[in-house]
Parts: sequence; structure tokens; C-alpha cells
Amino acid sequence: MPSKSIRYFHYSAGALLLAVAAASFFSSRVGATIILPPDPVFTISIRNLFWILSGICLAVGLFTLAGKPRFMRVMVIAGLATVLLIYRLGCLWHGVHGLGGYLGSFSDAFGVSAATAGIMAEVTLVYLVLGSYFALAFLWWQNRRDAGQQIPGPNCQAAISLPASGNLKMSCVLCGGHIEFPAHAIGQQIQCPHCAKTITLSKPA
Amino acid sequence: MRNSIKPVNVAIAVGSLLFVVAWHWIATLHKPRLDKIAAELVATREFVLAPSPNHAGTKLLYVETVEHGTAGYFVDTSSGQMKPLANATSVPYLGWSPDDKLFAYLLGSPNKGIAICDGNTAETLATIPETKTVSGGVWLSDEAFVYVSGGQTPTLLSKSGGDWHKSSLFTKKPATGQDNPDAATIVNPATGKKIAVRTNPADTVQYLAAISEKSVAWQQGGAIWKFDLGSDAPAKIWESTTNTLLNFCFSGERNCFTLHCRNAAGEFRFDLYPAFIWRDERISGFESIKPPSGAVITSLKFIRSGLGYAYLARGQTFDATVVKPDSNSVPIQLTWAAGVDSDSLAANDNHVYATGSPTNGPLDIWDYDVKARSLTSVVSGLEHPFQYAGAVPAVCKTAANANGQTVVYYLSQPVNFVAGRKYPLVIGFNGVRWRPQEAAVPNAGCFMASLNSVPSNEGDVVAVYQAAIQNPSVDASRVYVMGSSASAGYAAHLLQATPELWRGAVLLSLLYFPDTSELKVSRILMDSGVGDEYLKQEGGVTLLTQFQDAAALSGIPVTLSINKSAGHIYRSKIAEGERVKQTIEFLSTD
Repeated sequence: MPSKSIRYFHYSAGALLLAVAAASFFSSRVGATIILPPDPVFTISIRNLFWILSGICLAVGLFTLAGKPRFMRVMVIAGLATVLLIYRLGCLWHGVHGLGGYLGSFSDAFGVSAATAGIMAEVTLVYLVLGSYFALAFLWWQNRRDAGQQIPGPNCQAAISLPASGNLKMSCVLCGGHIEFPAHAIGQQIQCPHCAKTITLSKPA
Repeated sequence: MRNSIKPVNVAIAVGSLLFVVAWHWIATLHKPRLDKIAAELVATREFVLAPSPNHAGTKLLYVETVEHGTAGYFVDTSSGQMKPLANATSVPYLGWSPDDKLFAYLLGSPNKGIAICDGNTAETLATIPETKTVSGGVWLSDEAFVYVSGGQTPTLLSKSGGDWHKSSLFTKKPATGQDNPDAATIVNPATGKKIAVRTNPADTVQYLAAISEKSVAWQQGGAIWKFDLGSDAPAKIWESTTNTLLNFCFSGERNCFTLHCRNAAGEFRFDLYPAFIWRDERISGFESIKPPSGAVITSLKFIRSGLGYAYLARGQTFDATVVKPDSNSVPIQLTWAAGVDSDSLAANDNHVYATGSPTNGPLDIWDYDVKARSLTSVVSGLEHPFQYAGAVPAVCKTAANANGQTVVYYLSQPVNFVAGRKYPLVIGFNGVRWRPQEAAVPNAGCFMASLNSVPSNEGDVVAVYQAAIQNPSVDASRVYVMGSSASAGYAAHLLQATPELWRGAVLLSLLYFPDTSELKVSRILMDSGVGDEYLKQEGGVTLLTQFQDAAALSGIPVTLSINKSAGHIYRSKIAEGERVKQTIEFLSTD
């Protein structure tokens, strides 16, 4: 069940990050005469900050949804969330209690009040921080639980020990591409994800 | 890697991006229309001061604001055809010759001077260089024109041998026993002793009037002077004693001067027959000028050879042009529901012109035909009818302040008003006069309550606020205050003095910056020109950005628009258009 929750977190965090990327992009597009305030931490233009945030969120969002190993995905989300959290703490350090004062252009671009925009930003940050930290903690715990577990080999019934990740790795006998698969899949025939030819998953040598 | 991108992941990625794009698209769907509304509002004509009609009332010269300042136009009022006047960037126009064959106007920089033009085609016939300030002129004939240069020197332009020649109107001092209008020292003629030194060496020469082809009169201070071409020196023909001379005219037909004066009892007119005019009775036709109740008289002009007059009556609750054709007729009152411009009144014998709006919308130049008693728009303020923007009438209302005093304000409801809906309210200080900036408010879907001017205490604004929010369609939680220049400073003061009233503010060309920690507004729009000369004196654009930073720190988003092509006053249509657009977008997103 927690594993399913982590999958949903991946989906939601990926969607959220892409939404933030798009929203930041639109928020940075203001009229030629409009001056936006500098951000309180780096003192660069909020317009530039929106551009940077847009780029980073787009990259992380796509990475999250691109199906990389889930531990890595969660790590990247947690990393970004941590950076954003530190930035938010930096804002607080500089006396910024609400973000609304800096989100006027978001407010204009999406027809919501700046106060609402500020709340949306805070909620997004909290969700990413809590979600990624929880997922990270769960994966770490799962890894520890499964590490060194003895299971019978599906063909020879000899005892094998699961590696820390819970997955086995082998190279395709036909193309040499790396394949990672759960231990219980030993003996199953699959299409190699690299050469698309049928191979049998086997215990690594 | 290739096979790990599942369709569900692609769907989520595309879906989330599409969701944001759709949200943004819906939120900004109305903006192109708002831009068109702003463009229409600023495309209206903004006339500058009074037009200059010819004597027959068939042609008219006027000035309007254009992209980079002002420009003058020649209009045939019967056909409506217009023609730009070359390099006519400012007033004054210098009048029409007696038979309307010629007119003159002042040329702007860099070729400063006077242009003499054909009265039918507006073709420039001659240009006369003049580096000094020209403040008025009068034609004596098709070949003689007198104007005032440097504020005090009457100068003659005369035509001989096909060319125009410039010369001083007179070179000798006035006759013995009369003050020299240019003298810095006043001498007692009886004793020959100096009795006073004027702080201003001499009063400005104004209101030139042709007495004949060879004679001109003018007002200087409280006196009327006359000069006959070919004579030695000007002669004083009248001087005010217990009253103040405001202006005068001369009628060749009636062969007399008509004077407009003021004393403690009020304003009055009378006919004057000075010594050079044969007559037993020197003064006659005395008539008190009584403005409508509660109004003051401004810009009085004589009509019908001085028998009648017209003036602008400014009241607290109305603006009107009052026309009195003669002493026996009942005054005719033309009310301007959406305002009339001060100093826009012009008149010839049977026509009175004013720049105003009798219903609502942009101000036109109107011609009131005294004989026909008809009012006609001769130059429309609208180049094209509004397609997207709307003009709503402003209703005069009153509220009582805490001291029981009456406060007058004008309430306009939103364009496309729907009963039962709640709309924001904007309180301003512009009175009823139609302007693109104020017209932006109803077009942004807000009520506009406008006081006549900045009140002496905020109690008046609170009274208007309290009265306006009684309207069931006004959303009391969305009340804004709007001001420009001095009234923006006052609006900023109100944000601090009565913070609980305001959701936001529109502060244009602001010079006074309140303490942001005391504000409770949710949002502010600020718009200033980078060339704002007053702002530069205070510290420049940095003050605006500092205020924006401080407000952001307090959680108040400030939409700051800095216009690179504007100063303190927005004269360019592009700059004004940007300001109106920002205002409409800002107000319509609440």
C-alpha cells in the first residue's frame, strides 16, 4: 500500500512541478513597462527567478515522470523541495512572512488574489517537502528490511540473498544492455528493453 | 529507459501543462478586449484650451493632444473637413482678419514665428520670425496685424509690396500726464517725484481689440489703452478705480467699448464711449451679471457686438455655459453633464463655442448658434464610435460628512451593469469631467464615485464611501481609491489614515509614499513616467521601486508600471494608453 502511495506521489509531484514550471513561465511574462520587485533572498528580479524556477521545475518534473529508478526520483524531488524550503526560510529570515507581495504577476496571469497565490505556493512547498521526505524514508526503510533476505531460487531452489535494492541486475545475452528486475521474476521470458528480443531473466553470475 | 516512459506518465505531464495553459488562457481571455477598450478610450480627442472661430462661424482652428504633444487643425465646420496646420504645436491662435480672408497662428519650435494663412484653404502665405513669446493678436485689416511680444510689447505686422514687415507699434512714450505702461517707476505728475516702484515693471498687455483699420486698443492692468497708427504714442482711454477691469471689447457697429468689471457687489458690464467718440453720455447700458445660484463666472466673452455675453458657470453640482444674447433676453443655460473645459469658451458675434460633453463621453467642440438657438457639435471628441468601450452617465449625488456638511460626488455605474451582481467601487477626485483614465473605471466593471477635488479632510471621503456602499450592487469589500499627481498623494495618505476602508489603490504619478507597514490593502497599481520632473526632485524612480520592495515585504503586491516616454503629466497617447490599459487590467482582475 505505501508503495502505491509513493507511485501516486511520483505522479502528483511530477504533475505539480510541471504545473509550477508553466505557471512560473506565464508569471514571468509581464508587460514591457511593468517592473517586478527583486526577490528578497538573492535580490535578483522576480522575473528572472520565475525563469530559473520554471526551468528547474520543468527538468525535475520531466525526470520524475520519465520513469527513472524511483529512489532516484524521490531523491531529486526531495532535493528540490529542500532547496525551496531553504529559500523560504531565507525569505522568513529577511522578514517576508507572506509570499503574496512577490506574486502579483502570478495573480495577474491566473486571476487569483496575491494572497491566494501565496497560500498556493506554501501548500505546494509543504506537499513536496513532506511527500518526498516520507517517500524517501519509506524507501530507505524498505531497502533495509529487504536487504540480505534469503529466498529460494525459482528454478534450482537454492537459497539466494537479495541485494540491498531488492532488485537483481543482469546484462542481455544478445545485446549486452543492462536490465534490472525483481528477484521473483527469475526464469520469466521478457522482451529486452534495449534490443527487443526475447530473453530469459536469470540470476546474475 | 525508452520503455520506462509509460503512457500514464505522458498523460500526466501533458495534462498538467494543459491545465495551467487553459487556466492562464481563461484568466486572460478578456485581456485583448480590455486592450481594445483602452485603445478606444485614449483614441478620443483631447482639446486644448479654446478654439478660434472665424467671424462668419464657418471655419475653426483648434488644438488637440497628439502622440508627441499637441497639434493644430483647421476645420471647415460646414463640410467637417479638417486640415493639420503645419508646426502649430501650441496656442495661441492669433485671430482672423475682419473679412476672414486670413488668419494667423504661432509656429512651434524650432522655427518659432507667426504663420499667416489663407482663410479658405489654410495654406501658409507667409511666416514671420519671432523669437519672443507671443501672447495675443488682432487684425486691423488684411494688411495690418498687431500682436503682443514678450508679454508687453505691441508689435505691428504690416504688408507692403507683397511682403510683411515687423515693427514696434509705437516708439514714443505715452502722452504727458499718463503713466507709461512700461515704466518701472511711478512718478507723481504734479510734483514730479517718484512715489512708488512697481514690483512688476508693467502689467501684461492683453485683449487686443481693433477699433478701426488704423487704430487698436488693449488692456494693460486696469487700464485700456489706444493707439492710432501714425500717431506719436498710445493714450490711456479708461482706467479702473473702484472696480477691477476683467476684459473688454470694441464694437465698430455700435461705436463703443463694452467693459466687463468686478467690484464688491459682483460682476457687471457697461458700455463706454471715450473722449474720441462723440457722445453726450459716456457710460451707459450698465448691467449686473448674475450667475446661476451657487456658481461662479469664468471665461466671459462678449457676443453680438458687446450687446450680449456668454460665460462658463461653474457650480458644485453642475457646469454650464450661460448665453445672454442681450440685456432684455433671458439667459440660456447649456448644461454639461460630463464636464466642460475651463478656458475653452470662444465666441464671435453670433456663435459661442465650448469644449464639453452635454450627456456623457468624450468632450466635443460645440457651437451654439445664438440666432438659431441651436447647439451643434462641430468637432467630435470621437474619431470613431466606440465599439468595445462604453460611456455611462455620471449621476450627481450628495453625502453628509460627520459635521453635517454636504459632500457632492458623481457616481457612474459599470458599463454592462447587471442588477444583482456585486461590483468593486473606485473613489476618485476628478469630478464629472470625462477623461480616458476615469472612463477606464466603469469600463473595467467598477463603480466610480468621484469627488470634485481633493477634500480638505478625509471625513468627506469617508462620507462618500459610506454613502456609496449603501448601493446594493457595490461590493463593500472591494473599494479602491484612485488619484493622479496631487490626488494620488492624497489617496496614498488615505491608505494610511483610513486603512480599513481600502482593498487597493491606483496611484498615478505619485510623489508621496506612505509607510507600507501601516497599510492594509491587498494590492496597488502604480504608474509613473520616467521623466517625471517632480519625482526626480524627490529622488527619482528609485523611490517607486523602494516603495514596491517595502510593500512586497509587507505582503502587498505592487504592480509598478514605469513609462519611458512620459513625464509627470502624460501627454502622449501611447503613454496614456498604456496607463489606461494597466488600470483596466488591474481593476478588472478583482
